[in-house]
Amino acid sequence: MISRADVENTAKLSRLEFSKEELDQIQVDMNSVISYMEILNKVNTSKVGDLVREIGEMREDEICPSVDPEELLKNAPKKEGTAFVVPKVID
Amino acid sequence: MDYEVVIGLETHIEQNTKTKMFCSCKNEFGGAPNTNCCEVCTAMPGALPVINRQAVYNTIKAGLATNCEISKTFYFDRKGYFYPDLAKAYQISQLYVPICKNGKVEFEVNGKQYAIRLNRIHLEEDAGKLVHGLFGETLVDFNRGGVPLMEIVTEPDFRSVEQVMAYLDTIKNIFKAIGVSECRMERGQLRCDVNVSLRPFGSPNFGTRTEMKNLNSFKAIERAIKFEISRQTKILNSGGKIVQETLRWDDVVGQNYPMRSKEDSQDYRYFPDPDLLPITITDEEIKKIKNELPVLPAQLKSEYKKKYGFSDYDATQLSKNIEISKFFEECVKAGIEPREASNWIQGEISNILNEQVGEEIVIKLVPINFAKLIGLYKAGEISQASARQVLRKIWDSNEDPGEIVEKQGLKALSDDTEIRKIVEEIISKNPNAVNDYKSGNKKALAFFVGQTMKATQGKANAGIVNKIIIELLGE
Repeated sequence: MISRADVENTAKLSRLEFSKEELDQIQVDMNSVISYMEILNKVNTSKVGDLVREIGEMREDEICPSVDPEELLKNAPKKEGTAFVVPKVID
Repeated sequence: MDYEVVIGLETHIEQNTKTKMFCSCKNEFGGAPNTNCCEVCTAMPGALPVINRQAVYNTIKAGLATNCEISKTFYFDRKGYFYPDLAKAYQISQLYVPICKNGKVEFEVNGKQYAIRLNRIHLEEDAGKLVHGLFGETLVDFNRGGVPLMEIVTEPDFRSVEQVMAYLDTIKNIFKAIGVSECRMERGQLRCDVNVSLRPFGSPNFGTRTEMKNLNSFKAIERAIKFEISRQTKILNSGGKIVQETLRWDDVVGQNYPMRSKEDSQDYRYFPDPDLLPITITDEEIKKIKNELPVLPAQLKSEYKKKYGFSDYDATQLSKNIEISKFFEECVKAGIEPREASNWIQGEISNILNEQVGEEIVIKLVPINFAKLIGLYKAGEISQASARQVLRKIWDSNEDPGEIVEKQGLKALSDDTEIRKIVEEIISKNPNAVNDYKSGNKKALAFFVGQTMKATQGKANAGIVNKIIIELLGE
């Protein structure tokens, strides 16, 4: 079960803000997703082997041209020179 | 009350691969902001990461050099956190199955041997760089974002600051020797998080620990730990409790400040990255990497002891830094007698290096040229004092030592008659010292040698000077 606190915490971690009504609806939706997954959990898979096939590929360490900074920053709401500008953050 | 210090370290070391961890952008320090970036390392929608094989091999190499077990199958996880230095809002890292685990690093403090257990070495991507502007804004540069970064995590095995410093020196030298990083701290290529706690001596339980983040010089690490030990001691002695928190070291003020409060404690929501499939490494690959491992500082040390008959101390001094051991070996190859090379490296060369700015060891001296200089000195053509003087001249100019000796008139004075004349004059001017000598004061001899050297600007052949003084005073 997804509690109201779970929903609020997830929203906070995602830096998203919701109205009370939205939070109500999200809690219902999340619980329905979880209960749908519960159906799959009921299937007996004790005789089914590992489905993960380890086929990860790696690339060689060779340089390819990077993207032109002008192009890269084209959609940035704010920039200074070739740097992205964001509101001040301090840790 | 006296407390036992318990310290654990997380050390981040940036790799020197040609390209980044998950894209083919150049891995390079500096440069104008965002000039080594692409869709992947700036997290454009739909861009997919691809693993850099060399970065994986380098991490395996690091694990083999620190006695780790290598995971033949491993994968990457997402570590979620929201901060502008991380465009994806998660860092690709490894939590569940790191590439290397259960290692061991050995080192010496004051002649005593220690071994620190490594919990793991995992591979991840570095974050971008934030520059805080003057006008209440933050500038973001992703050139560093995505650079392959190894995190070396120790068990809480350290019991003193000295052990921490010796360990860091050791791993820095190992990682440089195996060629996976230059470990330049002023460039952020080696950074350290330190966990410190105290407990009464003999207590089996650990005390509450605090964490100090992103210490970026050896000096800062040492000062920060010492400060934290005394801060915690004061709190415990006055009956207080240590709060588990993350601290920021201010190197200018020389104090620790709390960074994050506990209620904001991080929830990273780690889970396997679905963009990246598990990787399997074969035994052949591991064997090949093992064969590529160079002789490590510790092995080099015992080699020097055996091969050249060096003392433990001399062998350590010559083997611990790759720059020094390389130079020493080139000197021997250039024909300098090993013990002579060792004396010079630990003498005048070490003086010159200590005068240089920064923590890096840079030797520009050309071994063949240095061998020429030593040749002149050994042949008695120049005195030791002159040799030191010439060494400083050829240190980064690579001028011919013979020419400098000629030009500056440093040729040793080994003409018997000339030295005899100078010594006679000094003796006649210092009757008191002569009496001292005759009444058995050995220091008087040193006085006469010193005066003769002064009169000849250090150019006199020391052997001849000694002989003549003893001869003249002996009568």
